[in-house]
Amino acid sequence: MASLLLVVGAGSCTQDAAVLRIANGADPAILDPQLATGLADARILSALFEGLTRLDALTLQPIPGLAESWESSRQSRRWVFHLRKEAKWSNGRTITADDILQSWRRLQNPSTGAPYASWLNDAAFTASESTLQIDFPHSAWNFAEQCAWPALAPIPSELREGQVSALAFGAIASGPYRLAFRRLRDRVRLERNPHYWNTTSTQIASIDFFTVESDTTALNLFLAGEVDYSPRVPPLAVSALKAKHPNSFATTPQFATCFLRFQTQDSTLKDPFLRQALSLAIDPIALIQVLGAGCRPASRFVPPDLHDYDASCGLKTKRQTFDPEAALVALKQSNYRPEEAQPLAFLFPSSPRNRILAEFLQDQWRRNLGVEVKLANQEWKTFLTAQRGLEYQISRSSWVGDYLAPETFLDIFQSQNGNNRTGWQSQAFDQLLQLARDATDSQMRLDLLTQAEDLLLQEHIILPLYHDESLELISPRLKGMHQNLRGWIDWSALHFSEASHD
Amino acid sequence: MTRPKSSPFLRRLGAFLLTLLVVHAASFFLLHAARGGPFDAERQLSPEVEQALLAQYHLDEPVHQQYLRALQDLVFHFDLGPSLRYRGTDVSTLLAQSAPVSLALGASALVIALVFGIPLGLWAALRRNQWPDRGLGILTSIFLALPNFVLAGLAISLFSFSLGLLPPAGASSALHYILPAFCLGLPCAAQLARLTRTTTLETLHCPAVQAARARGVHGLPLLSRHVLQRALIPVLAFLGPAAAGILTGSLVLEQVFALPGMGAHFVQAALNRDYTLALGATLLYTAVLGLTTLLADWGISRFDPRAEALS
Amino acid sequence: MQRRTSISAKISLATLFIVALLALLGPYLPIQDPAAFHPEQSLQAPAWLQQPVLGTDAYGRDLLARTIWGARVSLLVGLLGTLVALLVGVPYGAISGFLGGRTDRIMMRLADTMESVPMVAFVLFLLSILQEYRSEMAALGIGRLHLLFFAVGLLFWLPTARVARSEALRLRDTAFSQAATAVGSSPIRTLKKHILPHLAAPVIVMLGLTLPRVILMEAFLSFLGLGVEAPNVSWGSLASEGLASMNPLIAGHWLFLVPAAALATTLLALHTLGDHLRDRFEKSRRL
Repeated sequence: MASLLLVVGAGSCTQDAAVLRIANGADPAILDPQLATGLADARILSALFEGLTRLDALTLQPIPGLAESWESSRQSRRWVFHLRKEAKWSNGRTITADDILQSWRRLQNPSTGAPYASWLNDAAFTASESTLQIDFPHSAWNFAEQCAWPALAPIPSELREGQVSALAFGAIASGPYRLAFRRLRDRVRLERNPHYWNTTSTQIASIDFFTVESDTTALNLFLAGEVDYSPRVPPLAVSALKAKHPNSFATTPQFATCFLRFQTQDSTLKDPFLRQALSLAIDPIALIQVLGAGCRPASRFVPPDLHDYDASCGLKTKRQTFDPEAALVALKQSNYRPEEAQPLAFLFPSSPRNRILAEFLQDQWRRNLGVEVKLANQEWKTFLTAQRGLEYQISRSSWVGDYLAPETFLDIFQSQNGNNRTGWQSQAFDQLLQLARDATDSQMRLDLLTQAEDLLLQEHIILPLYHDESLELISPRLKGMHQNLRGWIDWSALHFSEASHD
Repeated sequence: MTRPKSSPFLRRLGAFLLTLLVVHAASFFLLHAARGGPFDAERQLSPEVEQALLAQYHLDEPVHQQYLRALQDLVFHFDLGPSLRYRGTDVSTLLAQSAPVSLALGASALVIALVFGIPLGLWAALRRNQWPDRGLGILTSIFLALPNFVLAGLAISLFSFSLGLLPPAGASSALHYILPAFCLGLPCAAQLARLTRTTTLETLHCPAVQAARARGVHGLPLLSRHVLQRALIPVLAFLGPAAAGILTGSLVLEQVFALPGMGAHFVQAALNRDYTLALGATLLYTAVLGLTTLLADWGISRFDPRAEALS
Repeated sequence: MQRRTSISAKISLATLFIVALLALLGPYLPIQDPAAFHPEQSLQAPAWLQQPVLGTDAYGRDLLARTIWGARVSLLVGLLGTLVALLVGVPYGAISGFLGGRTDRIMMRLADTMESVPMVAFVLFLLSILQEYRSEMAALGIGRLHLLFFAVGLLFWLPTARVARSEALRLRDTAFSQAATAVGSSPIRTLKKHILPHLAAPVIVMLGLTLPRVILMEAFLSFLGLGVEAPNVSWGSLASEGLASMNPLIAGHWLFLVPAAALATTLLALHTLGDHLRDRFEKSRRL
């Protein structure tokens, strides 16, 4: 048996001090920046593929990456980027404007299957030696920020032309690290990229991203000293962590919302009074108590982290509140009679936390309205199919913003958007968003977006439940991690301090 | 009996290949009865992107055509197709990476089962109704009654949390395999110990052994020359079911201990519509089970004097 | 030996009786609502002699109540799953054994083949696919639990079929069934009058041996997330929840230990009783 174990052990490496070990989450499907969506994948990809811009880990403002500088004109319809001359791939080849152009063409090509293809919809680009010009038919206010997202980073010609096997994606990289090896379901090992333009600032020699799906396992690995950083913690362990490991635990708001979708074409739920009653019957404070850490109360769909937008909303805001009496009144006005009707159905993706959420909602609706709700959970993909096909009445949903602007949230409820999934089609809403997109004045744009969000909430198409907070464990010896709204890590700023123990 | 000697073996081999084909077809059609596509994600793909993907994986063809294509690739090229989740990665690559982990785990568990189960079973039989027998009876009952994830929970809290001896999860070193291998192997060892005890007791009473005893053969020579050979035949026959049990157990334990084995891949693939990976893993499982059974049968025919007499 | 077995068998029987009684009386016992949230009482350790007797979970739900309700589901799935296994296995084995000859060979070859196939894989496929057709099935009145009975039945009918066959083979050759055939009784009548009734004893033994395996399988499926659904709980789902939240920081080990102990005790009792029944049966056969 010992020999068998050795065979297995031989493929892995010893832990040394120069390796940063991260309990990353689900196994990435592929390390192709144009195909990834999840935050866990993006974390690895942001270390491998640098875009024209990067984000400042403190302010989340775009700062120079592969591009030295850039400017926008014509209400952000035209963008011009100036490439860094010393920018190289990890094999020593220079990164050219043509590399970027070709990569973006690949992103646009439907056969690539890129989920972020729509970001470059209808965009036209031209490249000279080291400048790149992009023209949009509409305003692209946040394009410099979007350029920091791995999906818009250039990918090397070998990858574009399919010359490397999928497991070797990332071996030729533009970021501070390159792929050393990958063992599926176990880890992705990165090593310092010697040709990175800013390589002198990269201090940690290698990074191990471990596949750890359960957050309790991540916690246990951290406590056993097997990992240095875990971006997730079981919410229930938070109070104990705060008491026993105050130097390791960190939490910060995230640009994300958990909400309920109501299926508005359903014969029962098309009744706005019923949706109103259901919305008013949920006590958000009790919800947060039940779920424990990791969430903050939500009164709107867009998280309250955009100062200009919040200021604009603040003037004429319509807040969701908990009001059981008003909920009962609304229920009376509706056509739904809980005593006679079939129970409603609540659909959610399988997970312990979602199950708790579902049981809480069931309890609230029963207690505050006398409405019976049946719970059904499904595996993630099955759930998505059901939601897309409108085969549900009420379902649990969440959305994470892709850039710091309200559009990343509001866009999904346009009539033709594939992420709408409520059956709600409102011309007024679509028009408001279109007007905001064409707006020339930034305050006007924000006003229009506020109106759109108010409309969404007043019609009770969705019920915002909470905005997420990150719960992270960071070994005290790891320095240079900055908490921010998007979980963005500046890899070159990380380093280990000499001595310190938790 | 007039046929050549290899014919039963060839027949079994034929049956085995036929089984693989049937398993392939059954899983294929079952998996394709799933609703919706494998490329559904929170951020929905645009229709043309999704269409392109479906075409790339031939998922836009009628099911029977897809089946024939899959069968052809399998039979002529030994190709299980690309995984739908791990885009661009072939199922065979995935299995080649993860199967060694599962095999090492399963084989370690089997070794643990044999190393603990057989000697303890023998010991209990020889000390029938004395304390080793009774103690073992209680112990085996307990291990048989504990689901292996319960055993895993107890082991983690004792060896990882309280004693800090072994890591609670992961696959970075050989140390990481100790807990899962024991959690997988011990219930099997309990079954084996019981089986060995019963068959040894029966063997001790059979005429050949009684005769040897009468001739004055005792102790180790009796055990090794007369008892073990007979007593081990049912144990060999048990290898097939044991492999099946270990397989089932590994599905759970690889999740508990976050091991990058086939079981973890398979469960996720089955739950999340990675048709090709789920199918490939099922085929490999069938092959491993079938080969174990064949091997056990061959072993029985070698050791069993009755089987020899027949052929 | 004889004495020891009977004492442990008696203890097992008493244990099972108590568990079954608790499960049956669950709705009438003075226990809390197993699904009610009490966030203010979260994670209280077992108080043994006062409330909460077995502690509460992270959401303040009473673990005693949840364990008793879990017993209902676990035992129900166990019994009905075993019943399915018997209903499929016994006729299959009896027919195969009674008819003998070519039919027997084909039927047994089929059983052999199925034994060498990882049925667990198919059960996983089946359960996860049928989950997608839940609304259609709900319309037919088929729920998640029904699927579970069916699925575990599918896994365990084979051993039952084998036992039933060997008994049927034995009975077919006994004097009275041959006599019955000789006086012109039809095969179906012989099967009904002379074979099926005599299968009762071995089938009860089989039931005793299959029941714990079915309960274990339910726990296994619940662990993988294909078992019972909220707000239903079973011992398996409770134990896997407890395991999933187990860490060295927050005391909550009872969430895992209580349902695990309930599961293990019941399985232990069932195993002991099953073995005892088998021993008695084999002894009576030898006489």
